[in-house]
Amino acid sequence: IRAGRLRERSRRAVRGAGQPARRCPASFSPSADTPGHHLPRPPRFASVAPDGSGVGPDEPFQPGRSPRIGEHTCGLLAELGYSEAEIRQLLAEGRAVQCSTDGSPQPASAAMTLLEFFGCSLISFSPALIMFIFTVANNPLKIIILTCSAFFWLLSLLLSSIVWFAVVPLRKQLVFSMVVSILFQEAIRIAFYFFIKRRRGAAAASSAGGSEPLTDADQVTLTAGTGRPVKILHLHSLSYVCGLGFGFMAGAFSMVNLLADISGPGSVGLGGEHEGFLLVSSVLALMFVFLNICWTVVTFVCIEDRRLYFLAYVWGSHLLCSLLTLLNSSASPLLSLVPIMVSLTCALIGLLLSLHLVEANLAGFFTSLVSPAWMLRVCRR
Amino acid sequence: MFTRNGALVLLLVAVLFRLGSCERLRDRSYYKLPQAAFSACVRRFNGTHQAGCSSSLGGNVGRLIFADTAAELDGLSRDDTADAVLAVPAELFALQAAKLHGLPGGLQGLLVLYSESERDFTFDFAAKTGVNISEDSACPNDRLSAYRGSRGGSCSGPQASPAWNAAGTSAALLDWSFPVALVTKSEQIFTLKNCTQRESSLRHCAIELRTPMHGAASSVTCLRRPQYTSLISALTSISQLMHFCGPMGDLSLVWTASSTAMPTNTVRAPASVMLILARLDSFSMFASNSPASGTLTPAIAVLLAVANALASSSNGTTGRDVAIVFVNGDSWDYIGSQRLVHDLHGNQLLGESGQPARINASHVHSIIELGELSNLESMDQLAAYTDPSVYRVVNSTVDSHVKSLGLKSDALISDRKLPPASTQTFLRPPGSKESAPLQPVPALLLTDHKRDQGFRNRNYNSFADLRPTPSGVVQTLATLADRIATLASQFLTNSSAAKVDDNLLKAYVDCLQGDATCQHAISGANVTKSWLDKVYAATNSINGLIGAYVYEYQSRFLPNQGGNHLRYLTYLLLSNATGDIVPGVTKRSDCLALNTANDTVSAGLPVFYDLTSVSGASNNVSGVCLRLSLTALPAVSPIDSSDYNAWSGSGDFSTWTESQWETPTVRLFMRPTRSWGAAHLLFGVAVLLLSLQFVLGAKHGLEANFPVSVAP
Repeated sequence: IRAGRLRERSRRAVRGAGQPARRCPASFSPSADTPGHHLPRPPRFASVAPDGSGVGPDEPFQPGRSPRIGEHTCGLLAELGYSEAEIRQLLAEGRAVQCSTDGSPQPASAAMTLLEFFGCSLISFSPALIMFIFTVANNPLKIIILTCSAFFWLLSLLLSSIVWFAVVPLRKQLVFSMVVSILFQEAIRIAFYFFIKRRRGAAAASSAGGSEPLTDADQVTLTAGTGRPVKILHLHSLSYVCGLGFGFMAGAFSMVNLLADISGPGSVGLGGEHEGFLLVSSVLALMFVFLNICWTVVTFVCIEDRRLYFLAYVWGSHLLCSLLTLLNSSASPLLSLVPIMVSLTCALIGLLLSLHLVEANLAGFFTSLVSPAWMLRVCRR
Repeated sequence: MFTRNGALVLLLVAVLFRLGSCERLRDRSYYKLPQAAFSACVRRFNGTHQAGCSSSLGGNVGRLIFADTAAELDGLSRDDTADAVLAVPAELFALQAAKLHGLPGGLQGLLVLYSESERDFTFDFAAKTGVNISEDSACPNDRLSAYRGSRGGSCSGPQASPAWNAAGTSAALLDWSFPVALVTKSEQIFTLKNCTQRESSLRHCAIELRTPMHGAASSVTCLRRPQYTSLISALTSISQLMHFCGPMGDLSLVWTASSTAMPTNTVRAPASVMLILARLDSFSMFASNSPASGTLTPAIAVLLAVANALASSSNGTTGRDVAIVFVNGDSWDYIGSQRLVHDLHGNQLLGESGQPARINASHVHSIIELGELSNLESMDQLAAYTDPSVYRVVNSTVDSHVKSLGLKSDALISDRKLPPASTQTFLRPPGSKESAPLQPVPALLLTDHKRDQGFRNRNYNSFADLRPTPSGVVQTLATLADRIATLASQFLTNSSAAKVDDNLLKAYVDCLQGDATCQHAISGANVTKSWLDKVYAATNSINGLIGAYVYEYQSRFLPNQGGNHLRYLTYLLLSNATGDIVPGVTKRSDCLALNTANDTVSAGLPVFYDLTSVSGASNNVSGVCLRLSLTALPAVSPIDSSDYNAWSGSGDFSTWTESQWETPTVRLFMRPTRSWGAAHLLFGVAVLLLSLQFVLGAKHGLEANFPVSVAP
């Protein structure tokens, strides 16, 4: 109603005084016919809408964007007292300019690719992250061990890349570099066991008195000869933490490049990759995180217990799972299911084996996996 | 320990990246169109409006969709075009420019497919497709025509129908709300179309257009904007002000026939100079794709041949002169001719050291302008336009010119307003009062369109203006050139000594259309094929397409980076046509040493051309030293850069400016559909929740049940 009144008032003003908008010299120019009378300056170029569409009430104010050229033409002309028909005619003649009001360019959207990016990141790394937060982060010693093991994994990669670089004729053979890399990874895993063992031995030796009562289920506190308490991790949890470090690095190295590559507006596919490429890759990375934990636990415990034949499972499944990923091809996406299923089987075997080696109660463990008992504990707290 | 580890990790990463020779996924996932395969629509401004296109700063991304026919275009719903980049063939763009421009918001970009095979000089776009595209308006340059204001513009009045440029769509003058690019290579067009073959229900092809423009709104806005950044510049000690747009312009070329006889300090007699004009520029919304062979080639070739004929014949000392003028920038509201007329009336045209004698408005005897001649099959088709009101005053000179040119009396059209042409600026100089009569300058505009016709070239000012000049037309042009040369020669020396060489004219036509073999017909040893090849390379000509687009005035000196390429080529051909070779001088330093201080002797400035032949293979620079009386004049609006009132269009000068831009890029890639992307995310969240349950459950279970054994 207010706008209507204003329009009516300005129309009267225009008709009465005949001198509208004198203060707007850029938009109005003196009329050649009537001295003192101002006319809207004709546009230099019709900027749009030859059909004169869009004549109507003022556009609602949209915060956060500058007005487009001609966006307020109709509103202003109406305020100056031109009727709708007159405005239509001005637009049709090209003497006034009205821009399409809905045409403001929208910001480029990379939303779909971002969904993929976050989805894949979650698949690959959320289990490792959860494990880190709830089982590692609360203990500084474990964080140190985790970092150390991650570094040792990198060392294995460095060694394998040196070999790859040295053996020139086989550089393009993916199988060769893969096998070399696996051998180095396993060697480093064993080396890391002895490295840790030595550290623990030294710590234990330096402690004089007997063991104190346990403060934590997986941690032993020894009082050193100097009276300073020395904390050492239980081998089982130590192997798990090492495995998590190994697995995290392995997963990161297989996924980070991929994730970086799909962080732009585009995703994979132009090179011929199938639609499930990213899903398969991230699930495989997840599998390798988990497999590395199992392999490390099995390796550490079986060396500790001198049951070396279990190493055959570790090495064999590592070779099998890794080499099967070579089956991944763009031609037949179904083939990608083979490495995933085999990895899954290996992971299950590894889990059972690890649990067996650490003498855990299998039934109890699997029940606790699906049991919401932890929630009750959290609630009680 | 930690720092040592850190250093090792860094070393390792460096080694890994050095050694990684595999193709990166990113390189496989993106296909970047080569620069030569497309040209982007750029943004320009006049005093009040912006025209052209720009993408957002980061580039516009949308799903690639195609519409090949008008029916398919009509079938596109708002949902289809939202978040999409539409690709249409050039024919459809020509027919539906207004409709495409009005496509609803949400459209992220437009690709116009115009394949390579259609882009050489053997192809006539209008003839093959039956479609005409002119990106100029139906009445070009009407804002600053001689008939502006109360005279009603050049497209009104008696005999006003049809409009001069009836095919005009104004496409280049519209403000597009999304970026537009012209894809010109068949290979890339195939790649685009092929991508959609790989689409599935889970992912589709997408394209990113990145053509951000720095300027916005209007000339006055973007010219004034650096002021607001000057404080930042002062604080950060950046001496150079930021630059958002600059006046468009280039160089006009002037050659005078009597420069040897008339030293620089000569005072000319009234009505002693005949001006013969042709235009040098064209445009398209896709700046780098602005050929103009259909519009400009014939007139330029004729003028070059006339210049050569006049230069070859002996010039008397009658005190009269003929100036051959190539006007530049006139596609943008007569930039070049306005500057010329401004200088003419301000007594500033020529007369500087080393230039021909000064010309002012009173010295002009008459004007002959060559308009569109690409359809001139016979001399009978030639039309000579003259302004009705001016003709009433100066009919004797005009009639005598018409007679000298051998035209029939019905060829003279004196009852219709002049078509858009540079002559209009001479008839009504900038700053003259609206009520004042047009300047009584005897002016003739020679064109191939008759009384009841508009432009016969249907691709005037467009990316498709590629019409080759047929051999029949070349023959007629030779006749026309000969008659003009005779007329000029009569005026100069009262004799008809100047003769046009037909082969030379044909060679000029070929040269202007990018055929480097044209050098065979050009007399004198100073043009070689390799030299012309170098010229074409410098003008970025692709398939012989020589751009005639006038960029920002400040880029004019860089023929291989900016500036009007056609002007560059015309300058070289005009030097060849009119220059005198200095015998025995083959070195640059020797040539430049000839430039003595005695500049009143207008024997022409020594100019050195490096003609190192490709086969020579040595580093010895050999070249030709020419004496030229050829002057390049600024063709830029004379408005002072800080006169914002004039830049807002209050005056009579062109206010066109061009935005600064970054190198445009177009990238093709695949993108998951929204649902497939969401599926990834959902799966990830499921994994997160499951692992939360498993980890916490296992932790709880182990803590409760795990048989703890004490370590040794």
